Amino acid sequence: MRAEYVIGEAATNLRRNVLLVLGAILAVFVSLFMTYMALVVNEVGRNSAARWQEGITIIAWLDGSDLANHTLITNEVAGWPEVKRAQYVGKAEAFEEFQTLFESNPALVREVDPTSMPASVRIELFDNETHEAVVVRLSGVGGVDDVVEASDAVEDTLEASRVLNTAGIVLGVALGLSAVVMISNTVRMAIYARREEIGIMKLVGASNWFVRTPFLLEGLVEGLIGGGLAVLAGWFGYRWFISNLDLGVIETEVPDAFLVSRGLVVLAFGAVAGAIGSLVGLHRHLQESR
Amino acid sequence: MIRLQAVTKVYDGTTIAIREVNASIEKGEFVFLVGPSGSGKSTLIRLLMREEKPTNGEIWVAGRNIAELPDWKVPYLRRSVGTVFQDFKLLPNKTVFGNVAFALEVIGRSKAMVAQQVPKVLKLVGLSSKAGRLPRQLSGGEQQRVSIARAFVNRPLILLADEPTGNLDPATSVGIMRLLDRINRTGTTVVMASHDHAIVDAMRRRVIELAGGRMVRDETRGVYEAQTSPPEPLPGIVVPPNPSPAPTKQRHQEPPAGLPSVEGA
Ligand SMILES: Nc1ncnc2c1ncn2[C@@H]1O[C@H](COP(=O)(O)OP(=O)(O)OP(=O)(O)O)[C@@H](O)[C@H]1O
Ligand SMILES: [Mg+2]
Repeated sequence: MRAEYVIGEAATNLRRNVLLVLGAILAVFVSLFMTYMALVVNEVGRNSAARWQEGITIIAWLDGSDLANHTLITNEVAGWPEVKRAQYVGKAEAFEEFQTLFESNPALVREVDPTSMPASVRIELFDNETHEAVVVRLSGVGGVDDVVEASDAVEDTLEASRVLNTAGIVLGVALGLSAVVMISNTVRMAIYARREEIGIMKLVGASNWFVRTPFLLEGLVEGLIGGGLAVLAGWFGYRWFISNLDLGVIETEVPDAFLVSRGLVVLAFGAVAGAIGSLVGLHRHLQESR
Repeated sequence: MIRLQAVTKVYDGTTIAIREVNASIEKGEFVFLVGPSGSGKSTLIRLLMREEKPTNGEIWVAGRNIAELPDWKVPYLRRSVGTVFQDFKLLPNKTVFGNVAFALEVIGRSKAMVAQQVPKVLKLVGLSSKAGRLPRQLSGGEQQRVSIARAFVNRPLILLADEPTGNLDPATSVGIMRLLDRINRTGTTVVMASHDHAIVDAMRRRVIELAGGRMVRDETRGVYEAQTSPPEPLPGIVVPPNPSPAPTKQRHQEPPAGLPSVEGA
């Protein structure tokens, strides 16, 4: 089969139905843009949430590396009546946590000295009303270097990111389905427009895949263009977002490596949506298969 | 080359288009299919090119039972079976050359092959000088020549023609018949459905007559209407064992005497 022929035919199909094709590409674009953004928001949420998970609202960073002293402090804090749970995170664990947090950025991980990560006590309270009193008391404890608290803003933002993430995925999937339907429509239209040629091709013995490949390619190209635009828009949109909005405590920076790898995933989604759309469009043709 | 064994075709579970037809056609034969409208001629042609599957029976083409042929192999059958229709089926936006070349291109033949074969076959059908024209710039007879060229360019073993002269005037039809005759002389088996008494009578080739889907006559060197009355025993029903007695070979003869000589019609 000549690649030249297949590409030429696919290009002709795309040109003949410009409006339908643009509609299909737009549907893929919107769907995958939502998906891409959901992935990024999810990552932002994951980064921020790692330290603030499971009800922990206060972190006390500790001086030095004297384990006995650290244990003493942890036990003391655990004994306070307001404290539900005090969890000690040693230097080694802190480095592990750092590694998972930035697994998508190995260069950064390599540059950090494992021993430079401070140990900490992670504190969960029975009642957040006692929050301020506990923070003040912690600052007075010898060996505590710094006290960081999860403000309401953190909680709110994390909640928002969860909602955004879910909404993004749901919308992405719903729009993805409509994108598949639209791609299958462009393919069906293209088949209809060329039914005469297809009839003659079958008459003279063109193999089934020779007849179908241009249409498969057409759907694939639509999916890839839509996916490519979604990645570009997502990338620049995100960059604009973090340089123009300050969310304070929330760590909004996501490494490029993450954006690239998820971008490739989104492109693959586009290709798959295109291929599925084409196959749906070719369905009747595949059944007939004469 | 072609053998039909108890072939029956029922459309939609109700219309019986072909009933229990047995026949055998040797390589290089020229066979007319005749019979009234609705007798099943087109159905038989469609069965031979596997556009339809028989409801019952076996259809052997070039050593394969095409009733059992898996769908994905049908394209390879079509490469050895050329087809010509009443309505030409040319692509209006391709030139004469392009229409003929299309048949080679879509089965993956090389450009060199196309450049070599297409002019050859256009010369055979007498259209070398009109290679660059579009179908609408041609007469009906010329369009049918293009369609024959397309069917023949891949050198099929069998050429099936369903009323190829149905849209043409008598003089033009004679030209088409001379062309089909010439193709037949290259050893290609030709099966042609026709309503045209004059042509069938002039060619004096094997005639298979259908009526209501049954084969009611199989005559070597036959004519359109059965001659004897009362009709001779119907050889199509009491079929001779295969291979059937070879019909009188007419190859390496001059064109049938009855055909007036019309050049370039
Ligand atoms: N696709 C189809 N579906 C249902 N019935 C069909 C179909 N094609 C043909 N028939 C029926 O089968 C019978 C044979 O039709 P066919 O077209 O083979 O006849 P024919 O001999 O070619 O006629 P004509 O000389 O008018 O072309 C007719 O009764 C016709 O109505
Ligand atoms: Mg017919």
